[in-house]
Amino acid sequence: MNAMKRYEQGEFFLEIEPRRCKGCGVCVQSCPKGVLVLNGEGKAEAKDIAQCVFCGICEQRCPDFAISVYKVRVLQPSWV
Amino acid sequence: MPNTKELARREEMHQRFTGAHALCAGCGAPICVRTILNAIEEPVVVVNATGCLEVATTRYPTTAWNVPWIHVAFENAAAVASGIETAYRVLRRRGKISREIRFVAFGGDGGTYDIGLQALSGALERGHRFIYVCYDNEAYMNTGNQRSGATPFAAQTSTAPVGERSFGKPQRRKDLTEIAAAHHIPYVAQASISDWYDLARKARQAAAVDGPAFLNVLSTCPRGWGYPTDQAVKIARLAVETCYWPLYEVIEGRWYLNYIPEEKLPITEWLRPQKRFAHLFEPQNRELLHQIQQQVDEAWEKLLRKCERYEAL
Repeated sequence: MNAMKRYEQGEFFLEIEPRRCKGCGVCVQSCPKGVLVLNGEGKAEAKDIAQCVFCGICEQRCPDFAISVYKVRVLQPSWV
Repeated sequence: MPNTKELARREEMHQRFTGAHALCAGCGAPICVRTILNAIEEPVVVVNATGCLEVATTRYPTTAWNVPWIHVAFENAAAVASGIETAYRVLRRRGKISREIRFVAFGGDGGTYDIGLQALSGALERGHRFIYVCYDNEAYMNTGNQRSGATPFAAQTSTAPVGERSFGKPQRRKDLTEIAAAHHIPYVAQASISDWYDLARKARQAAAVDGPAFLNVLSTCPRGWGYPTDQAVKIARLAVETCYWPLYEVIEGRWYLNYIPEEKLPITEWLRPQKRFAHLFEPQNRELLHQIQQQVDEAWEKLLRKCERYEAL
């Protein structure tokens, strides 16, 4: 139940740490695309990750540092 | 002003304010602190007046601050900040410090509007180069919702209760941003936690000016205001949309309005979700609602007149 929630879309990742989330809804109200919702337990989760543009506003706004948004760098071998 | 991605990258390298503090869900203070500290590029030293922010972020033996931080009493946050700044200036002149350092003082509205006002006024007048941030949650929330100079007219608090002969706080709130602007300091701004980019830009600008800067940030409090904890940003935005808390800045004595709502909402939109104003919606208090709307309109008109020569940024 307290496992890290991980969403991905191509090389972009959105992670929510439920143990840190207090359910204040700041991310829900700040999300420009309406991707995030509060679930039955009062924790943030992504409803429709396909809508997410990975702008990172939720990460910047979260007062409890529960969200991280990042892009995975594909390491290119040096000989390519 | 850097964009979101740059701010995120900067925070990844050095997180100045960290999580796992004990501030309530729906509290505006951590949002305000996080945004402001991350927006300032230079190294910072933080001075923290007593209040919720200090109590909840530094529970022994842990701390949520990853920067040099000093806790001082309610009344002297600005005085201590000016002392640190003076010592820094002397050390810099002697060549013992070479880095640019910024000094940020955080105080609640009790420690700024009421108790710390004379220390703040003195520090602003002496012209120390520091940023004073008042996170204004409109009462002494840390000690149990007592009225302060920032509490709005007719709000219910534990020392201004509602009863047969009283309707909450009978006085109007004082306008601290205008008091700070009257010190002729280079930068004064009023911001809200709902408009984070505006807040980050103002913090950046406050760090850039050579002299004192003052930020007054509306910060919601779910316990004192009585709204559901998941509505913090919405409540703060309603305060801006109803023109109760206009976003403006005073740069070198010139007034700039940052945001004009497309449609000015009636003040009841902001009052209705809050339990501290619940008594105003009883039929015998209709006159009070009218009075509040009149006060807000009057203040907004006055502000527009001050800003009218300068177009909105």
